[in-house]
Amino acid sequence: MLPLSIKDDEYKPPRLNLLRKVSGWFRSILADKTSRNLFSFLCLNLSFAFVELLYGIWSNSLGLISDSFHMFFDCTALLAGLAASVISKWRSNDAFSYGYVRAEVLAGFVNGLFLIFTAFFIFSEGVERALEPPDVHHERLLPVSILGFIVNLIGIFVFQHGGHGHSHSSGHEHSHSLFNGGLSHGHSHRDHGHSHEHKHSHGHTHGHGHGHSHGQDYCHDDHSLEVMAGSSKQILQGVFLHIVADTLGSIGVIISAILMQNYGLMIADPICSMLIALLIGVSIVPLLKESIGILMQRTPPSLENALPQCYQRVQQLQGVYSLHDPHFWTLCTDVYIGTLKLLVAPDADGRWILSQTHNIFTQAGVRQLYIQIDVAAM
Amino acid sequence: ERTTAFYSAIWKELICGANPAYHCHSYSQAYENRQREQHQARRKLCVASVICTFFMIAEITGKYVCGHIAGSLAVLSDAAHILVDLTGFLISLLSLCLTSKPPTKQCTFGWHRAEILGALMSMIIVWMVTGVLIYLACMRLLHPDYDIDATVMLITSACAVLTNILLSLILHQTGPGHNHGAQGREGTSAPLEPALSNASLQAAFVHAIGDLFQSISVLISALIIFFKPQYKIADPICTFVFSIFVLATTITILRDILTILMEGTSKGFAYDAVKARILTVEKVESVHDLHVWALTMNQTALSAHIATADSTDSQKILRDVTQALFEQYSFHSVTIQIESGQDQKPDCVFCQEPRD
Repeated sequence: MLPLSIKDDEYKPPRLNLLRKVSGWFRSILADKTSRNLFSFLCLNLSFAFVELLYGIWSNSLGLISDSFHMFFDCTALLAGLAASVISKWRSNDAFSYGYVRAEVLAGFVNGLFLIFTAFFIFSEGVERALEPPDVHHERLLPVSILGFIVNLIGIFVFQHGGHGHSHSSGHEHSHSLFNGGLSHGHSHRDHGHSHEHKHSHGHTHGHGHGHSHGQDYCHDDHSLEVMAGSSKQILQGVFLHIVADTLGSIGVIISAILMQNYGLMIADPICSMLIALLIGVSIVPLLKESIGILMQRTPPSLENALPQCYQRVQQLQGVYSLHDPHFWTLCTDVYIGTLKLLVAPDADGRWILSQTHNIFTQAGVRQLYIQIDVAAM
Repeated sequence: ERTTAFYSAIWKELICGANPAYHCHSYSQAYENRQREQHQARRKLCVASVICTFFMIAEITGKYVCGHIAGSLAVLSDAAHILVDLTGFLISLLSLCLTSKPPTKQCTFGWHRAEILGALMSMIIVWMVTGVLIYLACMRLLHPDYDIDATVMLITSACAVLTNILLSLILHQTGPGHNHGAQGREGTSAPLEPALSNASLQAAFVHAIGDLFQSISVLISALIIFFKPQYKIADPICTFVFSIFVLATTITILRDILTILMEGTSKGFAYDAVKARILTVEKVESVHDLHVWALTMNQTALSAHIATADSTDSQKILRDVTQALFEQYSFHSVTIQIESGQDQKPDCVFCQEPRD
């Protein structure tokens, strides 16, 4: 018996699907200015690492090979930031009802952790070198460190303004990807008998999408897209401080290389390493504090002053006895979500109280709110 | 038991105030489970840390006394591995101590998430250590100029395997049966509890299992080199193979951690099933803006907007929905906003359902 119909349209060759997905990712990367910057910086870093690896294999220098491995490790951190900027634009689904916007906070946290570990390793190596100074070959040091300094400067110019990017899709999603730059660190890293400089770059992204609030009519038609400049300015400041610390690190490496070559001050090397490690550690603390705060479901610091006033205003509404169990937390930068319970009188107007409370909190900046109204017993 | 009752009484007072609503009881069940889970996890972690420290000291002194410095990559890495293990245990213990802090105005949910962040840090440490081991193995492959003392390797790795088996047994969590005290309120379909309920304990368990795999790999390569000393290459190859196993063990807990941190729907709660359950309550017209997210492994919060035709009876609908939800699932908190049916806008873009 011949088959009556061939369901050919349902079968998609798997390779085509993957190609389509990857090209979709590329398109989304290139569409946004800041992720474009990050992508190009990642390519620059990767090529630098490959060149170093090939040169190290050709000249049989173990130090250069291990340094290129370090650079690859740093490129993975940059890749994580890029991946986060792509992932956070995906639409929400059943498994992730809030969407994927938290990816940016996670990327910032993981990058911060990597940086802390790196700073720790550099510091311990500096201490090790200080205690038993090895033979340092500094012929190849100066050109490599100057090259690294130049790449750092490129990073500063590219990411100076934080790379503010907007991508609007009409209607359904509004996502501002406030991309906060790649971070480039340069520091000196000594190995047994070889000296080399390596730098690593990290990108972390904070983006925010807008939720909606139920206002008077319980649904918003006009979406106000104002960007809350308060918290993002802090992030931008942190990023810039980072890059400045990196450049200072490269300068420190160059100075120590000059000192060693001309004056033979071998102690300059480990002292430089330790200083740079301390600088990196200090500069990473604000970023870590903020991303840990978001991940711990902490009350948003920018709302901390406004919230008690909001509670007071709500409690003064007619019919409201008390407000309890308030929880406010950050989904990602500038998107706040809150839940609270109100105890109201039996004769109170529930709808009016609901819309008034929504208004009060919308003015404070909380757009997604869940208010449970419990009617007091007679 | 008395402390638990004491704390749950205070908790009820803080949460509900003057309202003697029945949902006060629903909170304390999840809270009591949590207290019990934390207490047990803390005990297990303390015992495991003590054993780990003991073994580490024994190994170091043994090596020092015998004057053996085995040139094998694997034994060196094993000693460092035990230290990394201990660090993982201490991180888990620290995050457990943090989670028992009471909620503050800054952290209104309490410090439950500290457990998840500690577990994430532990897993990152495992990945980094495995990366370093692979890197060292690569270096050994490229420059095969190392000696291996097979006897010392054999003895040390055998002891390590035994210790790790002991640690894994201590840290293993049995199924969900021990977690529920009062089973009385469970409805017809029991909630799907994940088998390993505490994130810190699970992270420590993954550490111990990973260490076990690495020790087994050292044992195997020691046996091979003992009987056939020319096959020195077995060392890095075993490291490669077993590193893959170690990374595979971290996948499950990493997936759970990522789901929780991304505010995703936690395991055991199907979005559609929860929505369907709410819709079965009478007088509920529609549900939108439903979010089920987890504070930590077993503490799940739900929030939703429910539209109902009959706005005079909203208190009863609220009670019915809350009761229906708590009967079937175990929630940390449930917040329902009841709206009137006439205020719904069918074309509002934000009231759309998330896709599958």
